Amino acid sequence: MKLSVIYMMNVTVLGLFGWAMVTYYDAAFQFRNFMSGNGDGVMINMTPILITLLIVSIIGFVITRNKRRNNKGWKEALLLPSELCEDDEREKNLTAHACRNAYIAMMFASPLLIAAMTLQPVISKEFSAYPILVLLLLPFVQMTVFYFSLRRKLK
Amino acid sequence: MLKNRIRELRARFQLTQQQLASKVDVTRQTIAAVEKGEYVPSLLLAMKICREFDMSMEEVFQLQEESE
Repeated sequence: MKLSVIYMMNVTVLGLFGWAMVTYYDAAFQFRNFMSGNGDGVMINMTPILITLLIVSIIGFVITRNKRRNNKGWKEALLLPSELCEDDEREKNLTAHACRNAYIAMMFASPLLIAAMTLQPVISKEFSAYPILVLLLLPFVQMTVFYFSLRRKLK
Repeated sequence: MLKNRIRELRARFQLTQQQLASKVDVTRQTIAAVEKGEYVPSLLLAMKICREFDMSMEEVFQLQEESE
């Protein structure tokens, strides 16, 4: 499977998961208000969760089937991210290089995102799920740096 | 820089990149990268390639100084 397709699938899954978690986060706020006697109840919008489950299932099925067709074992097909599937020493080398770059990127991104979390009391009034967005940026940065460093080496 | 004669030897032995790759247990892209000098193979892979051509390491791979 093409690297760009795998990257787009990963970003889609991450985005959908974030969307579903924002819904849960809002529900948790409603639950807190309800428990303190200020709310009428808890309403969860099931649409993001159902759409996420549907698309993640389809993507998971396609990826697993693809890996099984390439003679990968069930463990590798189900648990190992597609971008880490290596067929020989050169691909292991490329993955090692991309992992190194992703690690370096995290060294810079982590403190910046932790600093961004300090804005939470200000922003949460306008956008309650701000912490989820900040946390989602961590894997996004990691997979983006991994993808671009691998793509540059493969060109 | 590590120069090699794999392309030339492949032509002499009438092997495609895919055939050589299958014999030494790597992908075709790896053979292409080694031929172009973009990837320096491990000692194990280099020895497997030499064995396929029935040649010594020096006959297939040559170390070339950067200034040359």
